[in-house]
Amino acid sequence: MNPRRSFIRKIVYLVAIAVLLVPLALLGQPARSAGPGRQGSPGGLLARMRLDAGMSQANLGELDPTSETMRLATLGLRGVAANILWTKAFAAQREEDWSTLSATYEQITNLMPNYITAWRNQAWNLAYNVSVEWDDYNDRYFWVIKGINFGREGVRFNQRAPLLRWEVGWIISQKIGRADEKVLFRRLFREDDDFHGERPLPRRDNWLVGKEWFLQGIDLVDNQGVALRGKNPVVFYTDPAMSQIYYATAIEEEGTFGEVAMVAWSRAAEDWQAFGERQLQLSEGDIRLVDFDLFLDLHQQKAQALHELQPDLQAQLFEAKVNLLPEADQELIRREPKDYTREEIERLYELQPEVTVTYQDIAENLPTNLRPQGRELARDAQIYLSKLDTIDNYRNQVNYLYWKTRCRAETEQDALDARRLIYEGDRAYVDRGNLDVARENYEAGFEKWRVVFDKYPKLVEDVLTGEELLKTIGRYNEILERADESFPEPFILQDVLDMHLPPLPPEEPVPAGP
Amino acid sequence: MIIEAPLPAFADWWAGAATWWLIVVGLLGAAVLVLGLIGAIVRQGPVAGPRSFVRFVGSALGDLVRMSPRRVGAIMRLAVLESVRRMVLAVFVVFIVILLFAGWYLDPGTNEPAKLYLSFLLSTTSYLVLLLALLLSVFSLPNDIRNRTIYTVVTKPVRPSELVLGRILGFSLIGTAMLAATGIASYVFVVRGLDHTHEVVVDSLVAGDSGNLTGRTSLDNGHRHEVRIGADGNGRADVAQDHWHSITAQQRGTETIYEVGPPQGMLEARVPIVGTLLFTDRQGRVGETAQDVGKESKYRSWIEGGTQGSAMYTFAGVTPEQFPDGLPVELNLGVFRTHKGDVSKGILGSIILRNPDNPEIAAAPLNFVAEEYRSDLKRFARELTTSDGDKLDLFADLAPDGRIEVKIVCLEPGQYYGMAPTDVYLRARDASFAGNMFKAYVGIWLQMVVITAIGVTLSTFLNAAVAMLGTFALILAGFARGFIDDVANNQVLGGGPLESLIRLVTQANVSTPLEPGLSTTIAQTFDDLYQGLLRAVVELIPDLGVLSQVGRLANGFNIPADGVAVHMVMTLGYVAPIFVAGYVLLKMREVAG
Repeated sequence: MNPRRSFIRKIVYLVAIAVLLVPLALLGQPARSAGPGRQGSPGGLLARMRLDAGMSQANLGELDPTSETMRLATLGLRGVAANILWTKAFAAQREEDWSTLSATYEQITNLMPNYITAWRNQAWNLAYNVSVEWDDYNDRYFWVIKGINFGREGVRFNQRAPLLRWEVGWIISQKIGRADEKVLFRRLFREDDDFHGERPLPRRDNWLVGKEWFLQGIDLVDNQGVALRGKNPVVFYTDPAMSQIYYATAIEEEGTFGEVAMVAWSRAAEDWQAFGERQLQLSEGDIRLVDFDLFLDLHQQKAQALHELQPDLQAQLFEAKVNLLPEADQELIRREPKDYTREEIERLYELQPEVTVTYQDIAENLPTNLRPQGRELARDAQIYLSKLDTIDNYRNQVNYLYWKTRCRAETEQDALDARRLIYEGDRAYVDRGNLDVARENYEAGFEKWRVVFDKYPKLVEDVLTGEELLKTIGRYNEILERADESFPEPFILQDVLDMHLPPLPPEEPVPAGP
Repeated sequence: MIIEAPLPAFADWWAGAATWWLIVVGLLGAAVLVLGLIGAIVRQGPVAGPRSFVRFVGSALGDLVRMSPRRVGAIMRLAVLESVRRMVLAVFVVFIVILLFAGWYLDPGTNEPAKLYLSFLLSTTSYLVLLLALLLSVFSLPNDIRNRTIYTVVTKPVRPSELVLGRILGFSLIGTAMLAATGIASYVFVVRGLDHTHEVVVDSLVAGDSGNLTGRTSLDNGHRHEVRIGADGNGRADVAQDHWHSITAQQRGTETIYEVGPPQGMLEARVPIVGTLLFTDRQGRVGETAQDVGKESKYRSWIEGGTQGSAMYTFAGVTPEQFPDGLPVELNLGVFRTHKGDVSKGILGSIILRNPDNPEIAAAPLNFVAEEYRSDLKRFARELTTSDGDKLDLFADLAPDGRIEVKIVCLEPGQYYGMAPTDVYLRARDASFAGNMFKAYVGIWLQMVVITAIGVTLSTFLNAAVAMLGTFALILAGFARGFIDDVANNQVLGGGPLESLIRLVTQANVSTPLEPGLSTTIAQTFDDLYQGLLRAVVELIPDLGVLSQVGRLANGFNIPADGVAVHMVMTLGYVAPIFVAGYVLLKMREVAG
């Protein structure tokens, strides 16, 4: 080859490389913040895109030298390395080698510090799965806290991850507050100076600390423009209020009443009200759970106005639709409801879409002059009905009305007294065996509950309260039996017994004699 | 915390191992000789071929027998100089840098810090030294051949066998020096890193009824301890993170100062005497295993509480000379609850020492609460009593011939204890931790020697890059030898490679048989052939994993000298034929002829 041609080719390559470097530099130019005597720059296209998406490393959370070193050391093979470590972690869990498991988790998150799912799963695994493998409750608590601290470490790296904060809140509140060892865990948690640092003693309740974390997650979404992904907003926003409710319940179970309990329940009622008033952004559109009554009124107004345009039209349309059905179905629909068999009820469900008269049907069958107005009313009524269905659906998901009623009821002096009296009765019966005091407290407590249930009948349906009262009523019955007295009938809380007492098994037939 | 599989005693091991070694090496040698003869006949004809082959074998034997230690020493020296020239010290520098920043990777709040520290350091040492051995051994000869500097050596009266052996020894010497340096640095790092003390938080001390104090220590090294101090002012900080501290009181004027001692029970080398284990099931029938509670790991068998279920360990060598202070029995039990029970309390069990030949002679049960994932040492005095209050002598009555039975039962109905043969042992004594660490490093050293030998041998006939890849592949196979054995013997769930591939593609469960059919038959036939072939060659892969004793060291158990001897002989068994192969391959190359 001609050396001159070879030289020229090299020059061409060099020039091409230099030319290609120009767009690369423009694209990749880093952002520069403004300083004294220096103007800031938003950087190249990539830097601007990173900024817009909030994806730059500094935006995500703290930069950790360990993590950066490990990522550098794996030379772009961190995915492979992480896979190997996951396999190692599974093996360690299978072999119950807990220190290796925990160390491997740290290595995985060092390699992938911004992979939220890894932090969430591993925090959960340590707190829920590993902790229960230990027999001593102190060890169990150690691993629950290890899981929580793992999640907190994840938050340090991912300060704009609402779900990670939610997960930490969930473990603190639910794992500590609902485990079989909850009495012991809650005590250990209160006494855990290393976890709480400067947090004052009254705030060291797991439900309140959990609530703090839930609120941090909500603050990110509400005030810092972080999108909530991968979580039902209704569930996400309900947790601070639920934590407050569980806090109030827990302190009463542990014997704290009076002003403290009253304040706790009042705060719970406020939180629940605030939750109901919150604008929830759902795929079905924005809703507020408190708007149910508003939309109910609006829907009724529109439906009534539509109906009044031609009052007998709905019945006529219904008849017309029924007449189109086979005779057997017509006879079924026109029969007295009490005579229906199970198969017939199922058939009626099948027929329902065919005979339902929609607002649209009514509007389209109005006289021509009323039709435009009818269409408008039908459209509005339908919109309000959809909204109503959506709100009702989500209210049912979180048992909205029940908790609203409960929070209001629990702030009543009668409810506070009822719980205190039952608690004191339990202590007298279980701890001291003092049957007279127990009986006195139980009877006074039942009377207080009667007042509360009469004022808030919905509370009778509550399974938790029902189960607690059944236990107490059982003890009361034992006291009566020892005193050779019969159980009063009807009982003062007969409605609670009827609602929650399991039905007696059918009596065995007595075999006939020969 | 568990002991891994016990190491074989040298006396029991060597005869079988030697026979197997002779068979494998003999067969391999015979195969090589036959192939060599055929090759010579093909190349040089039926008359000249065998003559030349015999001449080659004779000369080779001569080379091997007549090696001069002086010349081997000279080559070794050259290898060392070459290594030093190639900046091997950089590896040590890297290690020191890793040590300096080790705190980044080690969680001070872990429940077993000693295990974490030791595993981390020995793994790091192992990776670095094995990498060093790999790089040194594979580049040397090919570079010499490529640069023709080999002629300056082969023109001297040096035998090819001396060239190969000198290099293996030289590079091993460099590796040894490196291991010694990293070992000393690691030891200092571990001992200093784990050494700590606490202060007793005086405000936390609460007086009990008998004048005892309970409280806690300060938070240091990511943990704190509960403390119990007796009326005399002395006490101990309870076990946390696998260690405890003693506490002594000093009176300074009117003030009592509590001094917390150094950590104890952390860097240990327990010498266990393991016995044989039999179980009785809930009806009292004797068997080698008990119940399965459904755990994924089948390491332990489980006995049910409140039934006739029990675990019976029989130990030998129980003599007054061996145990002058009584019998130390260490328990590492698993606990499994089928119902919640009292969550604030552990599960109650009892230990009964019995005469194995006459179980009627038994000491009164010692009740205890099982401590899961912790070693729980129970000491039995020489003088014991029966359940009726009669006196018993530990040795004369319960172990007249040196054998004693330790029976363990769980007392709570519906709850289970889990045990494996190595979970309960007699803690004969504690060996030196430094000595134990040395033995663990010997394990890494043996791995390094094998890898050096493989690297040098492959580099006699392959270029450096290919030799490096080949050695690296053998290292991987050597560490995965257990898995390869399982694949070869069809012990892996999901079948051989082709069957596994079908399961992967079709997302079929590994535990359900594949649908019968032509494709399944073809896959399984191929797998049978493959596994047969693998069984034939698997013995040629050095089992590097078995040479490492890091797990035993990290779990706080002594590495028996017998086991080290077994591994050294095993290594010699690998290295000797590898060296011979390396020599023959180099001799066959014209460069060294």
